[in-house]
Amino acid sequence: MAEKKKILLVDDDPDFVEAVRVIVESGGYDVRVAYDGQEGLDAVAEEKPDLIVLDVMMPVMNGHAACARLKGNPETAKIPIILLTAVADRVTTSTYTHRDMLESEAEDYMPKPVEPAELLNLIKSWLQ
Amino acid sequence: MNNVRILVIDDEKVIREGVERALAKRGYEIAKAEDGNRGLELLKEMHFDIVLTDLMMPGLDGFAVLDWIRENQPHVQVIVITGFATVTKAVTAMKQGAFDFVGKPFTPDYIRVVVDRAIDRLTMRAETEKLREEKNRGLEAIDKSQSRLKTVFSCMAEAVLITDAEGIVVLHNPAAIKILEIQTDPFIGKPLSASIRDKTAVNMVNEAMSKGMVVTREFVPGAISRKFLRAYCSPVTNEQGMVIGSVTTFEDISAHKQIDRMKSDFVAMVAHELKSPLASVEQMIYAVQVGCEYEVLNNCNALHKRMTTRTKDLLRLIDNLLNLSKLESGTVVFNLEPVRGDDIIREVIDITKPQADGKGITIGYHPCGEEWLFNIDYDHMRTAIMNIVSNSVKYTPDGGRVLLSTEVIGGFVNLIVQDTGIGIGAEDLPHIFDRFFRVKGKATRHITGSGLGLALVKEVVEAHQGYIDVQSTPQVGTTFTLSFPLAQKNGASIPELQLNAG
Repeated sequence: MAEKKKILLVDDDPDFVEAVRVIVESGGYDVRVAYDGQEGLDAVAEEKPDLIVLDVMMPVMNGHAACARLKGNPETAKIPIILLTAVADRVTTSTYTHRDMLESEAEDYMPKPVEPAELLNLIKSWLQ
Repeated sequence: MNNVRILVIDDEKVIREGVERALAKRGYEIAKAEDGNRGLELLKEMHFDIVLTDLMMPGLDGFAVLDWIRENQPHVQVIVITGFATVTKAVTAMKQGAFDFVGKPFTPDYIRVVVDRAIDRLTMRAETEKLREEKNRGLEAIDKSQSRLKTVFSCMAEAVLITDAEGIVVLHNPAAIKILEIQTDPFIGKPLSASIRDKTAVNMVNEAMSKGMVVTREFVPGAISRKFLRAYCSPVTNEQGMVIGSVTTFEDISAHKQIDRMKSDFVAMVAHELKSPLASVEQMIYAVQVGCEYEVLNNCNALHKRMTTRTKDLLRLIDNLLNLSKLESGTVVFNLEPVRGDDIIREVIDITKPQADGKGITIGYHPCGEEWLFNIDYDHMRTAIMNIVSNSVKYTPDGGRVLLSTEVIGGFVNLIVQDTGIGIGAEDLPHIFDRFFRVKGKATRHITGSGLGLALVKEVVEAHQGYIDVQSTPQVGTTFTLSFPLAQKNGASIPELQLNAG
C-alpha cells in the first residue's frame, strides 16, 4: 500500500479545521493543520505537503500572502494550493474569488463551507 | 358723523342763541361761551368738533382763540362769525386756518349750510386719516415681510443661488459662498461657471432651464473638500411660461452620507460575524455526515459538542447585539435602586464559579472594610460585572487566579477585577471596547466570543455614570477597574450599627 498523501490544512477557526480534517481524512489522506499563514509556512518548511488547503481570511498572515510566499519560493512553488474563502456573500463569491484567483497564483479555490465530495474531488484531481 | 359737538363763542347773546336755534333740530351737542377766555376753558375741558367764534370780542378775541386752536387742537374746524364791515378780518382769519366764515347778520339756513360743510370736511378728514393709517400699516407689513424674507434667506443653512436665463448669478445667500466654496468676488453678475469649478452644478442649472423642469443631483463638488452636496434646481418661468431664470438650493449632506456609510459598514461587519461561525457549524455538519458514514464515532461526538457550543454562541451574539442596539438607542429603561455592592459581587462570583472550577481557576474576593451602596439597575449591572469576571476566567490559563476587590475613595467605589491571564497587547488595548473586536492570536484561538461583551459593559457602566479602566501586561495579566458614584446613604437604609457589626 502506497504511503498516504499529505495535506496541510490552514484556517484560524479550530472548529472549521477540525471539521475539514475529518472530511479530508475520510478520503484517505494524512492531514496536518496550522492556524494562520505564518504557521502554515512553518509547517511547510518542516515537512513538504502534497497539497495545501488554505483559508484566505486569517490573522497574522492571510491566505493570499502565504500563497504568494509559497509560490515565490522554488522549493514550494509546485505544491498545489486550494484557497478557501467566505469573504463575500454567496451571491457575489464567484466574482470575488474569480478576481482573487486571477491575481493569486493558487491552483484552485472553493467558497466556505466546503461540500465534502467537492473538496475531495478537487484534492484528488490536483494530486494526479 | 355722530355726536357732533359744537362750541359757539360770541359776546352777543342773540348770536349765541340764534346759532343754537338754527342747529337745534340737528341733534348736535352745543355749548356756548360769552368770550374767548371762557371758550378756551371749555375747549380744554371737553372735546369739540366745530367752533363758531366771533372775531371781535372783549378780552380774548377770535384771532387768539383761532391761534390757540391751531396750536393745540388742529382737528377742530373753526368757523368765524363776523360783521360784513369786517370781511377783511374774516379773510385774515381764513388765512390763519379758519375753515369758513359767517357774516352777520346770518340766516339759520346759512349757518346750517356752513356747519354741514364743516362736518363733511371732518368726515372726509376722518376717512382720509383712516386710509392713511391703513396704508401705513400696509407699508409696515410689507417692510416687515421683506425683512423677514431677507433674514430667512441669510440665515438658511442651505445654499440658495438664483440665476437669470443666461446663467448669470443674480442673487445668493451667505451659505452659498460657504457651501460651494466660492472665491470669486463679486459672485453676483458673473456666469455661474466662472465661480463654480464643478461642472455638475453648472450643468444641472443649464439642464433645468433648457428642459424647464426640476433637476436633482447628489455630488461631490470638489476634490479638496470631501463634502457631499444634494442640489435641487428649479427653473423660474414668467406668466407666459418662458424660463427667465433658476433657483438652486444646495444642501450639505456629508454627515448623512457618513452615517450611511457607518451603517453599511456595521451591517457588513455583523453579517460577517454571523456568517463565519455559521460557516463553521455547516462545515461541522458536513463532517458529521462524513464521520458517521466512515464510523469515526469519537469525532462525531466532539463535533456535536462543538456545534452545540457554536450555535449557542451565535444566539448569544445576536442577543448581545440586540441589547447593545437597545442600549445605544437609549430605549432601555434603567430601574435604578440602591444596591449593596457586596451582594451583587457575591452573586456574580457564584454564577461564574462553575466556569472557573472547570479550568481549575480560583476566584478570590477582598472586600473593603466599609459597606457601600450604589444606584443601579440590578440585572444590567450583574450582566456587566459578570461579563468582566467571565472574561477574566476565559482568558486566564488553567490553574490561574482571578481576584476581585473593592475600595471606597471619595464619593466613588472602585471594583477591581485582576487576573493572571494572557494579557492584552498594547496595540489591542485601545480597541477592546469596540464592537466585534477580538484579540486574535495563538493564545486566543480556542476561546470563543462575540466581541460584544466589553462593548456592552462599557455602555452599561457609562449609563450608570461610571467609568471603566483597563491595564494589562501580556503574559502577566489584566486588571479591569470599574468606578461608580456611591449612593447617598440615608441613615434609614443602612443603620450605622450594622456597619460596625459588619
